[in-house]
Parts: sequence; structure tokens; C-alpha cells
Amino acid sequence: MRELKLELRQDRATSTQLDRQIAVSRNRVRVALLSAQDAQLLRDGFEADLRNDVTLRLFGNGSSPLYVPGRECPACEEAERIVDELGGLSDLISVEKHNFFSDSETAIAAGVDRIPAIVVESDNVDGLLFFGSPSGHEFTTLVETVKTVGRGECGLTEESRDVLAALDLAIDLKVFVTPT
Amino acid sequence: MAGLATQMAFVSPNVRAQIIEVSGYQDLIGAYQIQGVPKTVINDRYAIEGSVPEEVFVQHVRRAAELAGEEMERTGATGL
Repeated sequence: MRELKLELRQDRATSTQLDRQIAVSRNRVRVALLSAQDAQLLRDGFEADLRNDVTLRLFGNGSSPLYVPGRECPACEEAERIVDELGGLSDLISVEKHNFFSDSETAIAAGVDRIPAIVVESDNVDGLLFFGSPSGHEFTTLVETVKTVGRGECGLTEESRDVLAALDLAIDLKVFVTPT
Repeated sequence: MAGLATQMAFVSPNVRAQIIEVSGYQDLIGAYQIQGVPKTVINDRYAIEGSVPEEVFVQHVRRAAELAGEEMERTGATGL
């Protein structure tokens, strides 16, 4: 299957971090999200795979147009657009948005300590978190994670499942990636 | 690695997977000594550089859990 990869186009003529933040606030960042063809491909895939409700919980800075020092989040807008588009592709995908700063108790309970963050969950699955904008190759990982949760099945071997089932300690996996 | 990690978290309630697009978080690049990606860190103590097959990843997870268990025995901490 052709890999979906979000390409980010940025129209930035600025040089400093502050200028970049202001540019984001003014919606000067243009993001090429899903093409009609990719959206249909995803819609068909979700229709075929999803059997359970999946919730995408986005933690961001509240989409404020104000530049607030200390609350910068250059990737929040893009992350919000990604979850919005995914949420529009299936009735089984719902989107919740939380302001990280005003809803800190919810963020802490979800294990979110930085933004943007996307938590993928269902009634009986949690512990799946994406930090930063899931663009580039990680968009595919996000989509596949949504499918796994919504399908209620994953592709791990029986041997791997046995090892994981035997774990009696909490395991935290941090996988560091870049968009390309 | 990201896909395997999320599948592990899916099948085990004891596993949490955090997929971190690190370019926006300079503090993490230094804290976790990230010089290349993917880099996987288990319980903030055990690192895997690059991509590995599923069976190798799972064995790393098991080894990391064993090490964590040994450390908890020494310190008297609890795991879950």
C-alpha cells in the first residue's frame, strides 16, 4: 500500500523564534494536509477496519491567536488540523480538544507533559500518546494506531504477546522520531 | 519502532507508548542523548538505537523489565 506522508509547506520569511511564533499566530503557515485522493483512501480504510469507537484527544494551547511567552506551540495548529481531518473521515473517530494550560489536571491524568499531544484511546485501550505534530512518516503510524484500536486487533506475533502478557512491571516506551 | 511500540501498548495494559517527534523538543534531544532516530528508551533507563525486528524489540523490553525488577529489589520499590 502506498504510504501516506503529510508534507509540510511553510511560508516563513522570518528568522527569529519570536517571529515564527507570530507568523503561526497569523495563520501564515500553510499546511498541505490530505488530498482528496488520500482522504478517500483513508475513509475506505477506516470503513473496512474500524469496528469500535476511537477517541483522539488533542492537548494544545487552545488555538489562541495571542502570542503568550512561555506558551509557544509551533506545532499545535498542524496537530489540530490533522486530528480534525482524521475525525472527519469516520463516524467512529471522535475528537476531544483540551487546553493544556487551563485543563492541566486532565493533561496530567493522561500522562501529557508537553504539547502538542494526541492521545489515542477507546473504552478499553489507553497508553498511546503522540507528542509533536504527527506529520511525515509518523502520520502513517498514527493512522495505523487508530486502525489497531478501532479494529481491536494488532499484528504482533503470539510469541510477542506471550512475552508482553508475562510482564509484571509498568513499561514506558519512548520512541523518538523525526518527520522525515 | 513506533508502530511496534503502539502495538505493544495496545496488547498490554502494563505498557505505555510515547511517540515523540523530537525536533520540536530540544530539551529531550539533550536529555536522552539523541543523535539519530529512531531511538527507543525503555523506562528512561534502557536505550535501543535504530530499528530492530519485532522479536528483538520484545526481547529488549523483557530485558529492560528484568533489569528494572532487579533494581526494585535492591531499592525496595514497587513496579506497578
